[in-house]
Amino acid sequence: MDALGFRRVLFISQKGQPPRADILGVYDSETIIIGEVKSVAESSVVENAAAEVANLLDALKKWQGVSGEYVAFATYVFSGAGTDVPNIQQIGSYVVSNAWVTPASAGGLVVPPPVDKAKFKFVYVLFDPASGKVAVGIFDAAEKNLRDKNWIFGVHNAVEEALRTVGGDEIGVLGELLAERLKALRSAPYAKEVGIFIDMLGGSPASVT
Amino acid sequence: MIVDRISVGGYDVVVYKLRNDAIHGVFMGDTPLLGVYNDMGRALLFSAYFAEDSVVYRRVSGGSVIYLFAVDSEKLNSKADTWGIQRHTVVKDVAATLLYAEGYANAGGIATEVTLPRRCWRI
Repeated sequence: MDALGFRRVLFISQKGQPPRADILGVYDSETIIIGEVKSVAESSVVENAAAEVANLLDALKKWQGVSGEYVAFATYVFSGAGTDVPNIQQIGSYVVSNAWVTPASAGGLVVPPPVDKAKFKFVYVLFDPASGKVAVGIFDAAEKNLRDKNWIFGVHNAVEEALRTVGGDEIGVLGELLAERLKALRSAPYAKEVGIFIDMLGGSPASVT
Repeated sequence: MIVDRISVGGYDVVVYKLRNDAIHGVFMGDTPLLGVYNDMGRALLFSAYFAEDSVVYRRVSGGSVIYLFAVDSEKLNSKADTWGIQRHTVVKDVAATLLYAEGYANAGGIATEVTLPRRCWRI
């Protein structure tokens, strides 16, 4: 535990072997698993997790092949008031989710527009439920970085440090930033997406009411 | 069945139930802009409840950018509970909101539904 009560949680990978509780870092890009390093339970759980993560990586690679860029999105919520997951409360872990931005993650519905800015952004999010503070770190990443545990450590430490302190250049209020972006959306030609969503909704917005 | 409806940035955000799932939709009038399984829509929804007073700080260091802001945890959890959505999902959506607002992703470009299944969380 560090001063904030965070446990170290890292990407744990395995190469033809079940994930091991004492392995930290990313060892290969074939299978990445995220976990609480001290609480590996039954082997069956581990095996299931490995399969799930393999699917994630496969999906990620597929989208990468389509668009050439992606955003990885990792979220951690800590034990205590911020989590409603019994298992997490029981073992004191704060690992709750790992999500990748990929069309496959949306059920293979559509290939979304490419990420606007630079390629290979890795997003690392920490949330402190006690204070409500959210730190969102956005890093230039490459596949080799995701295999480098020191890089992952650095990412974590940088975001964690930001969470400890208040400051930086004040850029606005989240709601206002969002409103500005929505204005741009309103004027953009989104006919294609609208058509897709209508299809998703069963042909007519009225059908979902 | 619509279970909630609010306005965000001039858009109507609708929470509705489709089959057994609590799903969201973002509509402009009757036109769906963002649809089911698109977390940005849900991000907008949650943002409307607490983003108005969340001051965002940005730090740039080398090639990295770190944003820091705070949300009302109590309000956030309350909404999550009301709609039957897990609380950590709300946090993901908050971050997704920022990514969208700052131009890192387009509408439809963020989906945070690939999560490790519940059984994996014990690892």
